Amino acid sequence: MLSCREVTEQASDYLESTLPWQQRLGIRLHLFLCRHCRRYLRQLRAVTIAFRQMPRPEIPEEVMDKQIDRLRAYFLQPEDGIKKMD
Amino acid sequence: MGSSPPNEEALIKRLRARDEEAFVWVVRTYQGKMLSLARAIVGEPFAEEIVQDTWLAVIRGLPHFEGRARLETWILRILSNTAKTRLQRERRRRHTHLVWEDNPPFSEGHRFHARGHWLSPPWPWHEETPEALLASEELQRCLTKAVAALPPAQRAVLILRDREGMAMEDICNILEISATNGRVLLYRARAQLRAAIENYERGKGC
Ligand SMILES: [Zn+2]
Repeated sequence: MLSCREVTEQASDYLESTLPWQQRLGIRLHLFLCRHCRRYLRQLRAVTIAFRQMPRPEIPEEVMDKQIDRLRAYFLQPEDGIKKMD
Repeated sequence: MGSSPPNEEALIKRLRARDEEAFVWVVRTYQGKMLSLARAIVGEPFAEEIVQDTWLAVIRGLPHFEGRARLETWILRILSNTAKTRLQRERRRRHTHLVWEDNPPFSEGHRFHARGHWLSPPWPWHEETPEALLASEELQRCLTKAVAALPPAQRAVLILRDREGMAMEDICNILEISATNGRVLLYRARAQLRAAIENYERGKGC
């Protein structure tokens, strides 16, 4: 039987579904019997999913256009484009 | 070219032929992810410069790109190396204290009995769902702060995996770390986010 400590240490891998089935089964069995570890996993899953859905800082269109303009010259003429940078 | 991903081989051919449209598509497609990773490794002040330097390196490297890796992986790997080098330089100049290799163990060992049972079990939250976390500005601020406090390597893995949704194999490739190391970094990062919310819920602030 896995200890609570071992379960928490494997909790992130468990969320990734990359663990071999024997290990997954071991964790499932432990979770069935242990409400503390169930809570730990529920909380870990909640922060992981919440972070995934938090708005990612987007690059404003004008900034993107400016960056592309600066790079375009270099892309078309890498030999002397570098002088045109900045 | 539209917004759908074009055939990669054709895309690379067009880039090599200095096709402007293809180039603009590539910049628009990857810029956000690149900035995200650059910020994760070196922090905000240098991130844009790192992205710019990476594009220059990408353009210079195009003739030698053999297509063994996917274009995205190749670009992000150049970025990660550029950023790590920059981190080292800024550290020598004492503009940052961050170190790429720094991966302090995050241990909650003190919360367990010697035999591994909980001594101080996880503190219950008002609601333990992603929706509840996303609905509260305060909790989101907490998460953002916890992410900012992570060491660069942990933050980089977390952002590529959980924000950008990339495969662990690609992430390890880009950051040049082993699969085991990648898993450990991800575990420590996520565990610290959980601990940050727990602290808040216990009334200890963010
Ligand atoms: Zn347990």
